[in-house]
Amino acid sequence: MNELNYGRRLIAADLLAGLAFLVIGIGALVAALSMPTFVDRGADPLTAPGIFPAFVSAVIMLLGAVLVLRSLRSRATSSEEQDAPLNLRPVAIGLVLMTVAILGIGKLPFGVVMAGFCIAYFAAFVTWRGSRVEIIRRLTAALVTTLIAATLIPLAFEHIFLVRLP
Amino acid sequence: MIDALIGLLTFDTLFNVLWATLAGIVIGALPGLTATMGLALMTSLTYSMEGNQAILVLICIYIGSIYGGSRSAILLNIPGTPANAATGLEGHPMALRGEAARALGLATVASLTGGLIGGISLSLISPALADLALGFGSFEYFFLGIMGVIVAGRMTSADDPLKGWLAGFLGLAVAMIGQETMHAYPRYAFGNLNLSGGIGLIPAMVGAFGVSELLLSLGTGEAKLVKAKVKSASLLSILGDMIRNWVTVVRSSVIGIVVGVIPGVGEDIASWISYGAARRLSKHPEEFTKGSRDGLIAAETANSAALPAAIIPALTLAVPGSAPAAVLLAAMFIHNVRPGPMILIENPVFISTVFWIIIFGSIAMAVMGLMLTRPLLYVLKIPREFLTPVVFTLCVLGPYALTQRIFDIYVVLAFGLLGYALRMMRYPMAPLILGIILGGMIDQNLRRGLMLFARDPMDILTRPIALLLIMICIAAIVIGGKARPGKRLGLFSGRV
Repeated sequence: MNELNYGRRLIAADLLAGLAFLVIGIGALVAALSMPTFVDRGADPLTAPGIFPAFVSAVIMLLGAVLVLRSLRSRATSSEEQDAPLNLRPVAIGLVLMTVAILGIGKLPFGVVMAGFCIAYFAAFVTWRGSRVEIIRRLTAALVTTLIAATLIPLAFEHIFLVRLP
Repeated sequence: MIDALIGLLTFDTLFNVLWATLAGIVIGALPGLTATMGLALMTSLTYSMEGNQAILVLICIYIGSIYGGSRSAILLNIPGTPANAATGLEGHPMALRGEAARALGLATVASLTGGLIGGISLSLISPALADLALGFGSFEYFFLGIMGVIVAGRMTSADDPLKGWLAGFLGLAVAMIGQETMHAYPRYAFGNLNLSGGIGLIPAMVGAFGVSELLLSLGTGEAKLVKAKVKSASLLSILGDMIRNWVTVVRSSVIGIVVGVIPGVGEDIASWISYGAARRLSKHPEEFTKGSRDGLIAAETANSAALPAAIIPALTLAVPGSAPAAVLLAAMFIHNVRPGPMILIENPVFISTVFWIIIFGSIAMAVMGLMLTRPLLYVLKIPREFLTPVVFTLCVLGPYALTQRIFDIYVVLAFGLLGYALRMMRYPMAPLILGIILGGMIDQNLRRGLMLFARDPMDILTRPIALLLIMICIAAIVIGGKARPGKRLGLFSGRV
């Protein structure tokens, strides 16, 4: 295997992902091998439910091992694009908001959950600085968006597509 | 063919073609809403529709969104869908030097040409492929499925096929969750009733493409519209450009059709291959990336020709040619259309119906694209932060509406997170989804094939199609195994 030239962070991520694939592959293979064959019920052993899962998990395990080996043999090269800082803060905030909203579905009325998500989202991601006119414009846009997301779309699903909202 | 046309000539068809194509153009034009995501979300809106009209709406959205992506690629330098990335390379420099109208017009006419040629190819190739597929047995279907995952993994991750294959086999593993069809044994369910029901394709797709895209867009900055003075361009001069570049048009259409038919590969790869071929074979390669009309025509013709071609294997083999075609395939099942080799026997006019839908959709796309250039600019000005909550609501409600299981909403979130992590590490999403779609079919045919193999191991040597598929798999693995990740593997650079 040749030495590879690419960023340090991607090498580390590949190493971790390779290990994760390796573990998933081993776990899935063990589970597949422990699946029943139904031979005791007169079934052909070649129709056992674990055959294809075992094949797939073995391939994942193999590919994961190759990824681990490749990452270990790789040489990192520094480049501005590759080592630029990751802007993970907004992603983390967005993910938390989405998770909280989804966990709230079924426990609170759907419209309330979505309205709460919209308000929290706009508070986190819209700039509320600037001239009065700009702020009023953004506020109006936020209200319209909340109305669409929390009322109009759920109503359309409920009354046009006859979906019982969660 | 005429029966199919007559069956479609209604006011409902006209109305649905117009709104669906327009909706597709808007979805494609908005950065952050891809064709796959748009189709997955809009599928839920078609549940109550009559089958043919539902498929018509979805195909028109598909056509509109692949085309609509060229608007933002040219004016914002942000491809609305991955299929328009190459378009932006040439269209945006043209817009910067005041030729936005010409670039938009060329993209429209090239898309129309590609769509029409692709539509004709669908009507010609589909019956032949369906006939061929009638002779397919378990071996052929098993190797076809495996070939789909391997080739899609190889082509959607050309720099690093290992990641494409991992994504594909991960999709196959996900498809193994839930009750299998032969003994109704719940695999990987761990006693959980929801897992016994399996992972739904639509929630997985909406998560992998939709929620992950929303998360990716949170980490990127704002885009700015081109403000250069716009020189007008007549339709005649645009047609003149097309005629002068007729070789590119023909070559790109052929590339689009061939790549489109390959399972799981799709419009974006067709567009890049066609663009690369145009650049290599051009008499003026120095013009590329500086606003080459040849390059723009190559990219847009190929992605639009690949679109109908991607529907061909979905119709005749029940194996989608692209990620949006996978959603279309799922929608066909929802609307009681049974794609596969028997389609010509069970529903003989359906292929002709799809052909006419593509023709109608392509024409509507071109007419609206040329007429609505200015209003679309206002759409592009909608700030992303005001779009995200609406898209998120659709991401949650769309998959839920299908089965009304809250578990499916959790699947959306889980696949959103998984998709985000994988895309940050440059794993392609198309093989993952293809794996989920094909998993059940491959599993069944492997087990049936093994029983036949045990009975007569030499039988496989008498099956030339199975042998050909095995050779394609081996070739893809050998060629892919030689690939090395290089400079194009930008670290954590997002969209795949």
